[in-house]
Amino acid sequence: MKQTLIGLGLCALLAWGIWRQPPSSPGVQHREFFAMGTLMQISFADPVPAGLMNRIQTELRAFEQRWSPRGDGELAQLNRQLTQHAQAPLPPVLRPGFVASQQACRSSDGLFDPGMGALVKLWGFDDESHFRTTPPEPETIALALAQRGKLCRAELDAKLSVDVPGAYFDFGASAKGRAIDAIVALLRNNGVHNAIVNAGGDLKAIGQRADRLWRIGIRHPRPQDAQDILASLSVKDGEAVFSSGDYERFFISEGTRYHHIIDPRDGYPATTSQSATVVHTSAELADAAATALFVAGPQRAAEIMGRMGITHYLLVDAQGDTHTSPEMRARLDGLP
Amino acid sequence: MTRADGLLLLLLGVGIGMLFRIYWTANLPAQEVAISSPAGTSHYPLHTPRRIQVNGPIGVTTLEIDNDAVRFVASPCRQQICVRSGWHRRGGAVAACVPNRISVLLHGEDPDYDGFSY
Repeated sequence: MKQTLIGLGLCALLAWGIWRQPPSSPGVQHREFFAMGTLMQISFADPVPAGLMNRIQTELRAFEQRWSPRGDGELAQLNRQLTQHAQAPLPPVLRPGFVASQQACRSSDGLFDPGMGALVKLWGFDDESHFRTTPPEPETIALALAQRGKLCRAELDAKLSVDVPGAYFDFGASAKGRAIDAIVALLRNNGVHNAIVNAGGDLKAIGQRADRLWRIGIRHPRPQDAQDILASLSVKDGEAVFSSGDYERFFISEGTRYHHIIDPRDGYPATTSQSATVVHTSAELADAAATALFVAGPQRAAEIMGRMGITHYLLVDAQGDTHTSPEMRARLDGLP
Repeated sequence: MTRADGLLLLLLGVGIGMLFRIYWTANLPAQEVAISSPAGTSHYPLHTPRRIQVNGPIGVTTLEIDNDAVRFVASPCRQQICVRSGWHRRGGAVAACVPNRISVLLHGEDPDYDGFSY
């Protein structure tokens, strides 16, 4: 009798397990595709609307062409006109991005400066095919530095006016943020209430995951086997997390590492930081601010972030020491 | 208890254990990697060490699986961003050689993170 009861009990438990539904919505669907010069991943905690991924990729292709400094898009055409003239028509589709970047250029005291496109090109970090293994000659760097501050000082109306011809704009340090903002808006408009848009390690959250906030790990700029994550934080609906670092895009020449974040003040890679992370509701501003924070370094971090309206930031300086705003410190987990 | 009773109890115990594994254990660590190229996607278990060569538009990318992780060993791209990104072992992590259009996605949810900023 006892064995029969045990057997029946186990059979009942087994039957219940078979018919039971899995825990409510623990899973997340990932979609990956190449765009904006990186691998993009959208993680959905909601069902993925039919046809939406194709529309997103179409939008991003158009965005990428529009904002590429090379090719036949609007920015490339504007750059070509500005090589010969100090004034050129500013396409309406570019104007909001120019205005936002000019504001960031001014508030960052010129540490974020898309007008230094010629300098980025000179260093070969603008395109895979231009990648170089030795630094440019100091004389050519000095010539490129003459472009400094052109966007900060430019007049932006129906026409863009700079002081002298020769401007070359490259929005590589803010266009990805602008694109993420646009994709998040597109997702929301199509009924997606819970997702993360991640473009090669820069991301923005929509809603949350099931019954908790999305949780983001900030990678260590000098990872060890035991610690590849520097800290983590839970992101709220509409928050973007952007990081800039010296650890991925660089070359080594005669024992010196030359990375892709160029200091507009001297024309060489900034040397006071290993990584910079910024949280803000505007991905475009977070993108620009992460670059400005990296260049600012620990000495000017609080000042520049304050000027840019950034309350949450984390900086790892060249020695590996961390610097955070009090607001960011309160939200980070695992930071030594 | 007869031998048949014991066998039945054993089978029921194993069955319940499997159900627990499937339904109650959320957020499993990565156990498989999906490697994608323009030619398609292939899946490999992370517990079996191996080297994999994948053809892309600009040449052959070599990946290595070892110790439940995957990394790019060599790629024909000039900047070598994929190679420098090192080992990837967390579920949900992605990495890519963008110029050669080769990407990896680790299947399995990381119990701690939903995404990574870098």
